[in-house]
This record gives sequence, C-alpha cells and structure tokens, in this order.
Amino acid sequence: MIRLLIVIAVLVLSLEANERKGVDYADAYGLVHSIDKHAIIMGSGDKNVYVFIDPLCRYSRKFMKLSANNEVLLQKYRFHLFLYEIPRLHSSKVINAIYSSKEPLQLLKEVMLKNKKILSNKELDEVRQISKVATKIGVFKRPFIIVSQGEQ
Amino acid sequence: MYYNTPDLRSYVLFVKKHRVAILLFFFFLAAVVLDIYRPKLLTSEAMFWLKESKEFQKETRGHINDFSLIKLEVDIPKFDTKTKEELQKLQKELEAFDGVVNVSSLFSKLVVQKERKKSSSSMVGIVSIGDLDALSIKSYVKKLNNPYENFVNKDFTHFTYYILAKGEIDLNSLQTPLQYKIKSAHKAVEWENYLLYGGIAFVLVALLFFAIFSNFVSSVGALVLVSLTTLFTFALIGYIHQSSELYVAMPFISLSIATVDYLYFYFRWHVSQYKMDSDRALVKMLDRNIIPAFWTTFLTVVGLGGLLFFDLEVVRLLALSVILSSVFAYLLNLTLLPAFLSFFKASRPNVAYDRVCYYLSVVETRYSKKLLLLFLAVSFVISLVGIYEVYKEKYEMFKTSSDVEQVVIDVPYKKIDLAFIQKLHKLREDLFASFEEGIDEIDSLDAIVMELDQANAQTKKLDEQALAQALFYLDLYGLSGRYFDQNGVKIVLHIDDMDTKRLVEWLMHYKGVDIHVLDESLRLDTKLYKQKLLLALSLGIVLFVIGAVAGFIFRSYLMAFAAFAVNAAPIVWFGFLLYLFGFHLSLELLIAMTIALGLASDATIHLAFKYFRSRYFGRSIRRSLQKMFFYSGMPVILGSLVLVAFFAFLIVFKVESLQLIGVFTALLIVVFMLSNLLILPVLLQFIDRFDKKRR
Repeated sequence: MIRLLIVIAVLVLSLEANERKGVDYADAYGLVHSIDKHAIIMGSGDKNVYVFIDPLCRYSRKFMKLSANNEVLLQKYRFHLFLYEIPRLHSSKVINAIYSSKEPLQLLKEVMLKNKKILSNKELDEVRQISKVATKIGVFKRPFIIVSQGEQ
Repeated sequence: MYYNTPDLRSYVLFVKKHRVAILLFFFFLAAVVLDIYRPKLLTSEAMFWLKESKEFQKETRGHINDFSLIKLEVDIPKFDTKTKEELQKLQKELEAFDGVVNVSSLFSKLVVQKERKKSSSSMVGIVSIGDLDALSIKSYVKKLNNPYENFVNKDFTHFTYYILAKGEIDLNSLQTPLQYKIKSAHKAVEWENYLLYGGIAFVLVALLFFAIFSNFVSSVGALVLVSLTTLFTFALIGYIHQSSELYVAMPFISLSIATVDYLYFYFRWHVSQYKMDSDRALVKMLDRNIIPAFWTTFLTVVGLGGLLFFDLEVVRLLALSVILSSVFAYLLNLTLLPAFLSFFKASRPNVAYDRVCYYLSVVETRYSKKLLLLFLAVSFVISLVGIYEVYKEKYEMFKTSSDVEQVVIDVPYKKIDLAFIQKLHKLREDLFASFEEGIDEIDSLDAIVMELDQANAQTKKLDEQALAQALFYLDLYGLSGRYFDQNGVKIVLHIDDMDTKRLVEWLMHYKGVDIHVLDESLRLDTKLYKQKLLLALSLGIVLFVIGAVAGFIFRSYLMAFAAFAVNAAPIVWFGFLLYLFGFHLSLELLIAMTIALGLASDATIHLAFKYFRSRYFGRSIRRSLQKMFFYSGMPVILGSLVLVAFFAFLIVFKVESLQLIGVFTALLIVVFMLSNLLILPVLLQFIDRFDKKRR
C-alpha cells in the first residue's frame, strides 16, 4: 500500500513537473530578448517565433523537418532557435559543438536532419545563459514555442 | 359574336393566287432571322432566373466570386489498403484540379494528436485521416460514432467528396480507376446530344401526324408552322430584350402552343374534305377558326399581358414567349398555312373518330349534378387549404429538392484575434441552438484552434498566446489555407436533411459576424423562392383573367365561372398531389403549368365556342356536344397526345431540367385535357340557358 502511494505521489509530482511553472508569456518576451544574441536565426519573415529545442530530441527534429526547408514558412516567420538540453538525452556536448561552429544553423540542420555526429567538451557561457532564462520561463519540454503576437 | 360566320371566300382566292409569293416571303424572312439571331442556351435554372438580378450582379462583382459545389460519389466493393490508397489519391487529384478551392471528404479530415503530458519531448501533431492505415481509419471513425456520415456510409463502401470550385470545372478527365458519379448544379449544354434528340423529336412528331392523318402534308405543315413560330417568337424576344440568352426549355412553350393551334386549323381542313373539295375546305378551315382562334389569342394577350409589367425579368420573358407564340401561330395559320395547304388535298379525310365523339357526348349528358357540385366543393376546399399552406409554410413549398449536404460560408475579417475567434464560436453555438439536429458538424477555425489549444501542453486556457501558437501550428502543418485566406475565414457546415433555404436566410441575416454563402446555387436558391412565389401568384391571377375574358366573349357570367373552374381544378388537384408526395414548386413545374394552362385555356374557348354556336343554331345538347367533341375536342385530344409523346420523350435528355419539364408537362397536359373533355361539357350543360330562353 505504501509502495502504491509512493508511486502515485511520484506520478503526480512528475506531472506537476511537466507543466509550465514560469513567468507569464508577456514577461517571457523580455527574457528571450535578453538572450536573442545567442539565438540561431532561421527564416526572414515578419513574425518572430522563439523556439527552445534539443538537437537530439525526436520532436525537436520533427519540428526542424517541418520548418527548415519550408520556404513559405521561412518567408512568413523568423525563428529564433535556442539549444537547451533535455537532461536525459545528455546532449550538452552536441549543443556545445553547434554553438562553437562558425555556421551553427548549417551544423544544426546536419545534426538534426542528417543525423551528423559531433561532440565538443568546450563549455560555453551562452548555453548557461540560455539555460538560466529557460528555467525562469519554465521551459519544460522541447520544442518549446513562444510566438510573438503580431498581426495575422 | 360567336354565332357570326365571316365570309372569307375572296381572301382564300387571294391567298391561293399569291401562294408562291407568300411561301417565299416567309421562308426568306426565316432565313434572314436565322442569319441575325443566334441564341445562347442556358441550362442552369438559377442562372436564368437571376441573370438580370441587380443584387446578383452586385454580389458577383464583389469580394466573393462565383463558386459552385459539386458532389462526387464513389462506390467500392470493400475498404482495404488498396482502395484506401485509391480514395486518398482521388482526394489529391481533385485538390490539384484548376479552379478547385476545397475538397471535403473523409480523407481531408484531420486528427489532432495530443501532446504527451509526462514527456519532456513532445509536440502537437496534426495528421490527415488518410495518412492512417485502412484498419485504423475504420476503428477511428467507428470509435467516434461516425461523425463523418456525410462522407462515408457505415459499411465503408460509399464515399462522398464535396468539391468547392471557382466557376465551372470539368471533372471528366479524372484518372482514378474508381467508379464515380458527379452531381452538379450546372451542366453545360451538350450540343451534339441536343441536336440529335431534337432531330429525333422532330421525326417523332412527323410520324405521329402521319399516323393520325395518314399523310405527310400534316407532318410537313406542322414542322414548318411550329419551327417558324418558335423562331419568330424568340428572335423578337431577343430583339426586344437585347439579349440572345435563352433558357433551354423555353422554346417548348412556343412549340406546344403552335402545335395545338395548328391542329385546330389543319383538322378542320382535313375532315372538311370528306364532303367538299379542298378549296371549300380551306374556306371552312378559316371561317370556322378565325374567330375562336382570335379570342384565344386575345385571351392570351390580355391574360398574360399584365405580367409584361411585372418587376421580374423571368415572368416577363415567360409571358412574352406565350403571347408572341400565340400571335405568330395565329398569323401563320391565317396566311402561311392556307398558302401551303392550297397545293394539296387530303386523299383520305379521316372521320373515324365520329364514334368516339358520339360516345363521349352520350356519357356527358348523363352527368350527376350532385357529383358535380361535390367535386366543385371539394376542389374549392382544397384550393383554400392550399392557399393557407402556401402562406403558412412558404419555405417548405418552395424548398428545393436538391440533396445539398454541405454549406460553405465565408466570414471576412480584419484581424484574427481572440475576439474574432469568440465571435466564430458564438456563431457555432447560435447555429446549433437554431437548427438543433439539422447540423451535424461545423468545420471552422474556432474548432481547430480550440482542439489545438487542448492538445497543446504549453497552454492552459485559450488566450492570445495560445491562439498565436494554434495559428502557428496550422502554418507549420500547411493547413492555414484550408481554414482562412487573406480575406476571410472559410466555414463548412455539414447538414442533415434540413431546409437549406432557411439556413441560408438565417446566415444572411446573422448579426454577429458578416457572412457570405460561397455556394452559388444555394445563394440563388434562397432568393429564388420569393420569385417563384410571385410567379405562382401571377398564374393564379391569369386564371381569373381567363374567366373574365371567357365571360366577356360569351356574354355570360356563368361561363366566366365555368372557364375559371375548368382551368383551376387541374392546378388545384395536381398541386394537392404534389403536396401529398412532397414535391416542391420549381421553375420546371411553373413552365409546365404555363404551357398546360396556355393550351387548356385555348381548348376551353374552342370547345365552348363550338358548343354555344351549335346550341345557338338550335341543335340539341347531345348533338351540340357531339359536334363540339368532333370539331374542337378531337384537335384537343390529338394535340394533347402529340405533346404528351413529345414531352415524355424529353426524358432521354441528360439535362435534368428538361427531364423534369418533360414529365411535369406531359402529366399536366393529360390532367388539363381530361378536365376540358370531362368537366367542361358538364359545366356547359349546367350553365346552358338556351332551352329556357326559347321557351
């Protein structure tokens, strides 16, 4: 019985843990702007979309697959991509490698769409800053999307 | 007056002397008219009704272009992986067609996949039902208790695709191996078929005349008279209206009137040769018909003349075509026909019908006054109930019989924000509240936004950010165009056996948001019912005019009642039967009524003329009835039979409106013929005061 209660408690806690507990979306804009210089920019549209992704995450890869080569989407939106690790995927070395690259977007696409293997042990400040902001916003899953509320 | 006989011997001599010149004049005139007048035939009833409508012109110039809804049905023996692939391929093929705006089917339906709440890696997913395998599709649809019954039946053997297209599209080049049927509001005229069947119909009429009169003179005469009447009528209408557009079924009005008018003249010429030579038969043909035919033409002009001032193009055109046909047929019967017939003589003037007429006259003199009064009383009560029903349930009476199961509307917007989505949601609630079970499903932006919001683990309630994310997901999956474009949001209403007119009226008067109905046929239908009501009322007025003119011709108010009753009774009873069988008033039915009423009023005058004339000259009731049946009844019977055969033949045409006109007119002609042959003689005896006067 005690075991069952513990399992239920863990489940409830894990559910709670996966619901966003961060600042309001209105405040989140200010926060993402503060790390915008670390964003990998994709697309040239008028509408800004901020996306937290993990290069090894299955759904982040699905997101990239749907958007990276979609010209209509890239003309309408300007994606600000922030690489943010899902702890269980242990992707920090991949993230570091991408941020260390001279052409991070190109490398990101190769990793996510062509499954290119890269690693880097170099720890980067921007990764830490992104992580800090992501925690404040309450980014609990990847991809995590914030859409600027411009005109449709 | 009806008892005068004009002396036309010198006129016949004149015509005979100049017969070649007369014939050449008419044929030259026909050739000139044919060279100038090139009619354009319209097969769409709606387009014909509203081609002059200012409101329609305004709408088609505006933001909404002409859209039409086409229904494509596919039957398959079994739903498995192979047929599923073919059905999905058909969806894509239809979507790729030029002019196609939207294709709704089971394979266009979307499934929104919820995010897994416990997972740190997840994303809202949207897949098409068609992307699932056949087994999963079946279990998914069955699990939801088939909300897609408009698209697929319970056995998964019958699939429906609704295609919203800009303008008209030709789906004949579809590559699919599946067996399909197309139902569309508009169909192009297939000229080859039209000419082929038209030619066959002409041969049929010629053969019928040959069978009745045992000669080809009657056939050739009929074809010439009918063709020239139709040509002159519609060329003049085209000249007056400065338009060459013609509804495909309108020539049948002139064709019918000209055929029967011709028969009154030709029959008299034919049977008169039993006792006299062809020249005297010509005189008889003219002096016995010139006055009643004048009065029937006069009745047509006066009866329908008022409709020429009607504020509705279609009513004016119908009235004008009947009036001009009568006038041209009358003029040609007095000039061209004697010139033509003067070259011939009937070798076997057939009078074998005399026995039929004798039998009819005996039967009619034994009528029961009680039964007549009962019939009139019942007819009167039915007509009162009919008027009340039309007034009370005019929507039902004028409902189209179309089986539209989807209505597409467009809601213009300036900005898609939360307030706008809430307005759409309010529209959805109001629609369900107003139409309850009539609406199965509403496929619209607010529904998908709410579904996406519920599937999205990032948002808890629908706020501006949740809306922005939902709209982004639609863009991400390439589905925005399906729900909205730069100008408006597209909403598809799936309806189930309901009055589409009431729905469209409701939408047009909805205050919450501005709504445009995209399916052209539906928009037109809604406006049409009022116009049809006006035309139906105008037919009622014509009935009163027929009575008044008949009363004037015979100087008898009782004859006014008889003429009114004998022509109103068939409409009352026919309308009653239509009501019982759930038919609705359509242009086809109104044209059929116009044709049948035009012919019936002529028959009434000709029959009454002969009866009154015989009675005036002292013949007994039975003898008068016998002469009436022979000289006027036989042309009515023969003309009706020819026209019934002709209109029944229209069923072979692939144009639906022609088939309907064919069936309705054939039935109505029979009903009116029976009314004139069975009820009118009884009424004539009932109002007969000759014996009283003589005493």
